[in-house]
Amino acid sequence: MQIISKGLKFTYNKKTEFKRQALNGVDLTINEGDFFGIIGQTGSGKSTFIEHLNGLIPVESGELTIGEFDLSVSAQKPKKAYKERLKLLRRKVGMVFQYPEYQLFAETVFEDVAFGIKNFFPEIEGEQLALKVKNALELVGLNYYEVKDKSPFELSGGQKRRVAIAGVLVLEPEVLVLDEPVAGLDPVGKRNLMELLHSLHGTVLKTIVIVSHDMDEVSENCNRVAVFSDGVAVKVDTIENIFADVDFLVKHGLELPLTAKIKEDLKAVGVDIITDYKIDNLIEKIYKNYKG
Amino acid sequence: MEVISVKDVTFKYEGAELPVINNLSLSVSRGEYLCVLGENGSGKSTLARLINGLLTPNSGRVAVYGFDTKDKDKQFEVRKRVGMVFQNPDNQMVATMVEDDIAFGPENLGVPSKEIGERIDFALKSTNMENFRFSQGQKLSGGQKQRVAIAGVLAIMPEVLILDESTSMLDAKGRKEVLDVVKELNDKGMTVITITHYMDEAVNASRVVVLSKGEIVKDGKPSEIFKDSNELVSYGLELPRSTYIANKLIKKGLPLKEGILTAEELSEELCKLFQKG
Amino acid sequence: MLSDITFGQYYPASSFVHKMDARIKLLLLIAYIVLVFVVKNFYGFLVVYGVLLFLTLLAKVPITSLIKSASAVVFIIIFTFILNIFFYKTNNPTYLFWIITKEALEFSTFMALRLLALVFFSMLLNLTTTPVALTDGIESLLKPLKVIKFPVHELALVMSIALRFIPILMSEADRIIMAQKARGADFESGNLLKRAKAMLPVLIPLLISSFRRAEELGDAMDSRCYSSSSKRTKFRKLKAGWRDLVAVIFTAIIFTAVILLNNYVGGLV
Repeated sequence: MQIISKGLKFTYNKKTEFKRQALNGVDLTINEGDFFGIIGQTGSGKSTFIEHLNGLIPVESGELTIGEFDLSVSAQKPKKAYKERLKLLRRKVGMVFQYPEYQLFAETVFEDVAFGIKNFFPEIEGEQLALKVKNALELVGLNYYEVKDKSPFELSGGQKRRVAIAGVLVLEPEVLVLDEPVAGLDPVGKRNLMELLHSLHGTVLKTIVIVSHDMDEVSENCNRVAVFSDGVAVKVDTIENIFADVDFLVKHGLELPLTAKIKEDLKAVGVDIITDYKIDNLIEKIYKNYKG
Repeated sequence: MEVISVKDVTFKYEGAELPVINNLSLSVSRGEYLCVLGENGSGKSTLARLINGLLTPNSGRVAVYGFDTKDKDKQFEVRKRVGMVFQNPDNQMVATMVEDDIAFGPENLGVPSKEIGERIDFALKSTNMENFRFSQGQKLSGGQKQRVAIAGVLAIMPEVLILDESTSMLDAKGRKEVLDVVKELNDKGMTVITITHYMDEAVNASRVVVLSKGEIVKDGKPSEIFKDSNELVSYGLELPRSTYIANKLIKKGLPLKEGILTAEELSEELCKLFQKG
Repeated sequence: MLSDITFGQYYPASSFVHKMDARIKLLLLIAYIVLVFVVKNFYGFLVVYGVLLFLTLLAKVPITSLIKSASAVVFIIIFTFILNIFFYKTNNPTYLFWIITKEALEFSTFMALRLLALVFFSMLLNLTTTPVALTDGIESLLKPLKVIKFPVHELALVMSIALRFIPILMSEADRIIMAQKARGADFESGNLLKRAKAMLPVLIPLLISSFRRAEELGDAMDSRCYSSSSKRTKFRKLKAGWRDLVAVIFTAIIFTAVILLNNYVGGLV
C-alpha cells in the first residue's frame, strides 16, 4: 500500500479561541516497503499527521490515500460506507502510540492482545482466536504459554511494550506506524525492539513508519525520511540526501546523527566519505579510506 | 569531603522475593558529578530514593551530611540538602504558575515571604527560565518543565541534586537544555547525582557507577568504564556511539588514542589521522 | 481535543479587578449572586448587566471570552427557559398564542437573565484571578474552620492540584481513546450499557495512570519537604487595599440602588 498525502491540512478546535493549525499542507508519499522516518521538532505536526493515516483524525482539507482507501473529504460520504471502509483501513494500518504500555487494560495478556480481534472479527473465537494471539505474541518475541494468563501489569516495562505492540500486530496489518517506539527503554531494550521491527519488516509487515526525535535512530534504521516543520513536510527524501544537507537540518532545529557529524568534520579536512549514515558502514568506509 | 555515605545497604520492596539493593556501599564527595548507570530494574531509582530518605534501608545505613535518613526528626535536614528531580515532567508541579510552584519548597520550610521572592529569582536565573516566571506550567515544553522542576528544587538551596531519569521523556533539544543547566550547576560547586540509561550523558560525569541486580559492578572514570564493551553489554548497557566507532577502528588497526568518549574527540582524532596520512 | 478545555481560565492582564484581593473578590461574588436573586424587575437587571459590562471593561477582559464562557451552560439556560414557558402557571394568564402566556414568557426570560448573570459574575472572577490566588483566597476565608480541626490547607492544596492535573488527564484520555479506536474500539454505537462497557478500556488505563502520577507527585512533594503540620509560610500574601475598599463601597451602592428600584417600581409579577 502506498500512502499519498497532498495538501493535507488540519486545524484543532477550529471554531474556538483555542484554534491551532497543526498541518498546513502536507505533501508526501510513503512507498510500499519503506522503513520511513518522520522527524521534526515538537509541535511540527508529526503526531497529527500519523493520526490521519488510519482515519483517527478525519481529513479536513487536502487529499490522503492509503492504498485503495481514499480518506479525502469527498470520499467521506455516505457516512455509513465511509465508516465501514475505516474499519477495514484500521486493520490494514496498525498504530502504536507513544508509551503504548499505558493503554493496556485487560486482566490477562491474552485478553489484551485479543481486544482488536474481538472488535473487528467477533466471529473469531476459541482455538482460532488463540492461534492468532499466539502468533502475535511470538512475533514480538514473547513466550505465549508463559505470559498469556499473566496480568499485563506484572510484566517488565519492555515486555509490556511488546504486549502492546502484539495487540496491534494481531490484526495482521500491512503498515505499522509507531510514534517514538523506543522512548523510555534502556539501551538493550531499545536495540532489541529495533531489531524486532527489522525482522518484521519485509516478512509480516510491508511498510513501517516511525516518528522519532533521535537522529541516530533514524539514520540507522530508515531508508527514507520526511522532515516536518510548522505543519509542512519541508523535505521528503532518502537518508543519504537528508543528512547530507547540514544547513537545512540546522535551520529546522534538528541535530545531526553522529555519523553525519563525523562525515562533515572529515570533509572539512579534505576526506570525502560516501556513506549511507549507518554506523557500521561508516566504520568500514573510514577503514577503507585509511588503507587506500 | 564526604557528603553522602551509603553503607552495606539492603532494601527489599514489601512482597518482593529478592532485594532491589543488595548490600551496597557508596561514598559521594562534595562537588562530584556522579552518573549511575544500569538497565531497567537494576535498582538505580531505588538507590536515589534511599539517598534522599523517601525510602529507608532494611539494613545498613544511609547518611547525608552525617544525618541518618532513618532518623524521622532529621528528615527535613536530609531533604533540605538533597533535592531530587523525577522522570515525568508533568508529575512534579504542584501549582499552575511557574513562580508559585517554585515557591512551594521554601513555603514548606517556613521561609519568610520576602526571601522566597529572592530564592525564586535565583532559581529562575540558574535554570535560564527568567522569562517564564508567570507562565502556566502546562504550556511549557518538556525541557522547560524539567528546568522548572530543577528550579523548584534549587529554591530549597540543596547541596546535592539528584536527577532520576529526568531526561528520559525529553526530546534531544530538551535533554540538552537540562544537561547544560546541570553542568553549569556542577561547575559552580553543586554535587550532582544523575541516574540515566543514556550512555552519552555519562560522558559528562566525573565518575560513573554501574549498577546491576542491586550491586555496584563498576566504579570509575567514564573512560575507564567504557573500555570493555562486552562486560557492559552483559549488564544491559552499551558503549557511547563515539566510543563504539573508535574501538572498532582501533581493532582494525587504526592508530587512534584510547578512551574516546565524545563526537568531538573522535572527529578530532580522525582528522589528525587523515591529515598525517 | 479535550485537553484544550482549560479550567481556571485566567486571563492575564493588569487591571483594577486583577489587582484586587482574591478574598474580597470571592466575598463580592457572593454578594453579587445574592443581588441577582434580590432583583425583582427588569430595571434591576438593567443595573446588573450595566455593572457587568462596566466590570468587564474595567478588568480589560475581552467581552467575547466572557460570552464564550456562557456557551457551556447555554443548554441548561435554554432547557430551563423552555420548562418555565410551559409549566409556569398564574391565576389570570394572558394568552399570547397557543398555550404560551405573557406571564410565563416574562418569568422565563427573567430566570434566564438571572442564570446568565450568575455565570458571567463567576466567570469574571475566574478570568481575573489565578487559580492559586483563588485557592489561597478560599483557604484564607475558611481559616476559622481550623478551630474545629477542619483541614483547610489540605483542602486548598487538593483543589489547586486538581486544577493542574485535570487538563493533563484530559489529554491522556484523548490519547488512550485514539489508541483503543485504532484497535477497533467503538464508543459511538450500541445502547447505554454497551457504551459504558466500551469505556472500560479507556477508564482502566486512565485510573492506573492517575495512581502512577499521584505517586510520583507525592514523592516530588515529599522531596520538597512537604508536611502539613509544619509552620508553612506563604509567598503570596493576600492583602486588601484601597481598591478593595472602593469595590466594596461600589457594590454597596449598587445593592442599595437595586433595592430602591424593587421598592419604587415593584416586582415583575
